[in-house]
Amino acid sequence: MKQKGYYALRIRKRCWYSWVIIVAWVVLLLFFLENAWDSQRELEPRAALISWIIFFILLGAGILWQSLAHRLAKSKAKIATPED
Amino acid sequence: MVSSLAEFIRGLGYIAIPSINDTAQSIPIAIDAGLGELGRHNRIITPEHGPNVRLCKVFTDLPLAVDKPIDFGALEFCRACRRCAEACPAKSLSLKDKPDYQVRGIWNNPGHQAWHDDASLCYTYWQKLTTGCSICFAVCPYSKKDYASLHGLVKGTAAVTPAFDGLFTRMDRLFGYGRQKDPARWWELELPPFGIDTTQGTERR
Repeated sequence: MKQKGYYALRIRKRCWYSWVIIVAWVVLLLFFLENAWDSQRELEPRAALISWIIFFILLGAGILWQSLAHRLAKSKAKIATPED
Repeated sequence: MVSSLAEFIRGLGYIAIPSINDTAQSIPIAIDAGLGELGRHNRIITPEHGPNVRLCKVFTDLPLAVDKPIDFGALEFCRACRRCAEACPAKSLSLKDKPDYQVRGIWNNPGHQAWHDDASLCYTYWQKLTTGCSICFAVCPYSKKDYASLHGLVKGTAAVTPAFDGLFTRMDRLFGYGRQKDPARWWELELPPFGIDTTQGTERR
């Protein structure tokens, strides 16, 4: 399609359950972060290590999921023209 | 402390007889008073400090409000747990599924259901060590410093339902709780949260 001098933006709203997942992810992150920190205070190194591992896995999984979703959305986007 | 309390009560004009290990059994009195539940190691487990308590009592005619026994899921948890019995070096604690009336010797008081222990094996081990043991207290899942919120979540869930007690026991092992820690670092931890400064009055003159 021949490009004109403008772009049409498609606005995508998150569905409600997407927000629920995001909030749950943040709550779990904070929970395991607090647990890891306080387990170190309690002199429980193994518990702290397990909590840190879970924390970083959750963090990495969330970042990876979001970056993949963003990349997928970009690949599906098209530039709209008045002829569309 | 118990003598000071008894002295205070006598000052109010009432009879007060302090007692620690003598005169009567502290554990059943504490359970009846609602301080905790009877655990597999045949000692009391409190919701705040687990089994890590030192019981004492005052016999008095001071009018007091009467408390009732409490149920916070410890007895049910002990059915699934077994950590104290497995960790006991003297093998003096019971591994049975449920408490029963079967006593193991003259040191057990008959007539109540409990995980009756073999105190002769326990104290023989103390003599071999030339000091007290308390490994059963250390490995108990209720013996936690309670800094991490996970402990409150586990205790709260165990108080409501026994469905996850087996999972919590496995998690307790997996997370390495109950292992011996560096004694020097342990004693550098904060003092008990209830504010008693046990270092007061220990200066040598």
